[in-house]
Amino acid sequence: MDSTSLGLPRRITIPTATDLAGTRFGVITEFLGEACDPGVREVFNDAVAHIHSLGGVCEEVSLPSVEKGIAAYYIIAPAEASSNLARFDGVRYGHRHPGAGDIMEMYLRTRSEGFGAEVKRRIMIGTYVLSAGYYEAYYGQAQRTRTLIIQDFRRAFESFDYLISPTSPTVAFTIGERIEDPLAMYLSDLCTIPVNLAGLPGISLPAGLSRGLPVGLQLIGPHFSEQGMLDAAHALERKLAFQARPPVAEVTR
Amino acid sequence: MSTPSDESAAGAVPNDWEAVIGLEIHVQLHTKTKMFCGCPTSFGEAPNTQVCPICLGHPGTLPVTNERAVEYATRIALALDCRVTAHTIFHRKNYFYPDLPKGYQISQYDLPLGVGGHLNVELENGAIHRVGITRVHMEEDAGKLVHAGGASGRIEGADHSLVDFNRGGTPLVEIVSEPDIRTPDQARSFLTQLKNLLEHLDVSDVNMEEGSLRCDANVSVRRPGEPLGTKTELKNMNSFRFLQRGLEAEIERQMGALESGRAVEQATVHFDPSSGRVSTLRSKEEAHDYRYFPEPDLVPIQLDEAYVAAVRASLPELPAARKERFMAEYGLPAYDAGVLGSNRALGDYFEQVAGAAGDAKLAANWVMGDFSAYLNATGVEVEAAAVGPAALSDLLILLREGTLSSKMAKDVFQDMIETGKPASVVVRERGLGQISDTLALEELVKRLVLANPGPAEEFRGGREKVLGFFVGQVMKETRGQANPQLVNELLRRHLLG
Ligand SMILES: [Zn+2]
Repeated sequence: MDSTSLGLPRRITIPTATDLAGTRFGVITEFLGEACDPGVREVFNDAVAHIHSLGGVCEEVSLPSVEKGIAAYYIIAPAEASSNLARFDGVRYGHRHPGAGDIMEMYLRTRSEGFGAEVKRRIMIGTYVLSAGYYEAYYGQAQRTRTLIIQDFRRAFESFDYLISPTSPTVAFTIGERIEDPLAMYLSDLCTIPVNLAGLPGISLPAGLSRGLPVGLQLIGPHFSEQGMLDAAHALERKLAFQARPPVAEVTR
Repeated sequence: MSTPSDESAAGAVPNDWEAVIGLEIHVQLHTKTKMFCGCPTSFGEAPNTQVCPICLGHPGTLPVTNERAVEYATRIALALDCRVTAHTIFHRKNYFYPDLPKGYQISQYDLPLGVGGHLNVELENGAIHRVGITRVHMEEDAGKLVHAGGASGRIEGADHSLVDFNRGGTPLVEIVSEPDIRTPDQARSFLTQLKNLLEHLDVSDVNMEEGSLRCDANVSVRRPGEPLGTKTELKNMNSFRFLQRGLEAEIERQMGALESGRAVEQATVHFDPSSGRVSTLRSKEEAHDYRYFPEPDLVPIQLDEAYVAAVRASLPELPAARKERFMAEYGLPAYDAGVLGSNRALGDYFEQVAGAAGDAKLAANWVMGDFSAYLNATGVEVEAAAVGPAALSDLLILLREGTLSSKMAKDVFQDMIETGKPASVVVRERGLGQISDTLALEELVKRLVLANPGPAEEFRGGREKVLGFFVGQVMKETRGQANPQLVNELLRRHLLG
């Protein structure tokens, strides 16, 4: 087992729960602000009503640092990616530019040809934020933000069993819609990225439709709460009874 | 105050200059497995046979820290009187080079395992020079490159290069000294004594030729009392002699530059043993930005007080303490105790011989004399010597009991080395062995006295010299094997009695 795993002997069983009696849910207010589509908020609020009907308790809770999650993530993740992807250098495996004259040309051409635009963007951002003179302002600051996010979640779990929010502030965008605007695309992950930064388990349930497209509800639990979280998700999923299917063309003989 | 040109005209006088030297030493730990995977660390295997997806940096693989390597590093830190960092972490040092499979080296940065230690170096003149140890940190070794074609043997201009990853991922400890060293001699003494210390700690093969002990130096020169000059990093000194010669050449070069009014450029400098010259590899403008950041694939390492105490308690006796004990326990002179105390294997050998032979002084003389001469002449390691400690002590017992004279013992020792036979067998086969049998000798002495009444009478008349004649006769009859002391005693008794 590698160093990022813990040897907990816990086994997860198939969830069977059908109610949420006495379970306390915190509604993260920061994820229901301006960035959140009204249609998404509507579906989410309906889901909150369902939780109440199953005996659960929902209350608003503020996690002020989670709004900085995207900013922190898009420093930390590219920093790690720029380092993780250094191994694709053409020396041992994968693409190698044929016929380079020297080692530097081999590196430059191999990596220029082998990586796509988004990967290159992240490698460049990551390399920049780790550079001498910029490290503290970017990477150091992002890591401190991450710590604040972890602390916010920890505090919230002192009062709530689980936290809930929309999975994404908008419904799915159309193909190619945000391709020219990576920042807008990154914002789709507003609600999920803080969960990853804090290393917490989360699950997304289809909760309803807005403009004909599915809206997800996200359930977040404390560390190692997977079993309880799956049980709660099971009960809620049954109640939500999400039936939407993509439109199917009528075929007539 | 004199200008540089005045100095130059007056000729370079090294006393006018002071060198400031700090050393960076890399020690390969002789753990069974590598730093972050289960591959063996054995040296000299066929290329790329001691590798796995982890040490080859394949995507998706994750490292796990070798606990034994942490223990060895802690031993080194403690033996150098460092403070052990309770909460230590690994960093990634990012740079591209074909011998570095992941594109980064897992190393340590601002939280090294050990900080603030020192090594007391005994100089040639017996004085103790204290050299500060800035830090002791853990990291992984890179692979090895072979550059084919091209004249330089370097990557620039080579037709193609081959990579052997067997060494990649081998645990390394880097020891960084304070710039407390002032001469190439001191640097050599420091490295020698550090090597002895590491040998005692049993953490590394410390073999400079095989690369398990490597040394780089940071060097600058200045006029005594003036602020530090610009330093260069001197590399590729893979023997004690090259360290000394490399430093001498670089100090000479820097003094020459400054004396002729030029500046010393901050650079990496390469020592070429064949020419004895130094050449600049890369200047500071090309210096790397290693983009250090905490290694996210590894957890921090907690070295609590109990752990550190346990490692400290497990430390073997170190050279300084051993020297003291050899003086106190065996009554050895300081010099002998120093020699035997600093070389772990030789010290162990000495103790076994001294114990079995029952004469520490005699054991020390032989271990430092004939035995060391044999090791030096053949290049054999103590552990592999043809004459083990039990065999040597058997020989010394024959010497001590008078069966062999010193001269004969030396001959027997040579035979033992060549044949591997025990002393008693060599003595028997060669018909050696001093005759210390009183009865046998007494018979002979009686016979000779009776057979030579003339000389016997002369001796009784006071001519002491005649005793020599009789001794000669006895030695002739015994082919030189009679114990001379005993012969003297018996002759006097029978001539006078
Ligand atoms: Zn391996």
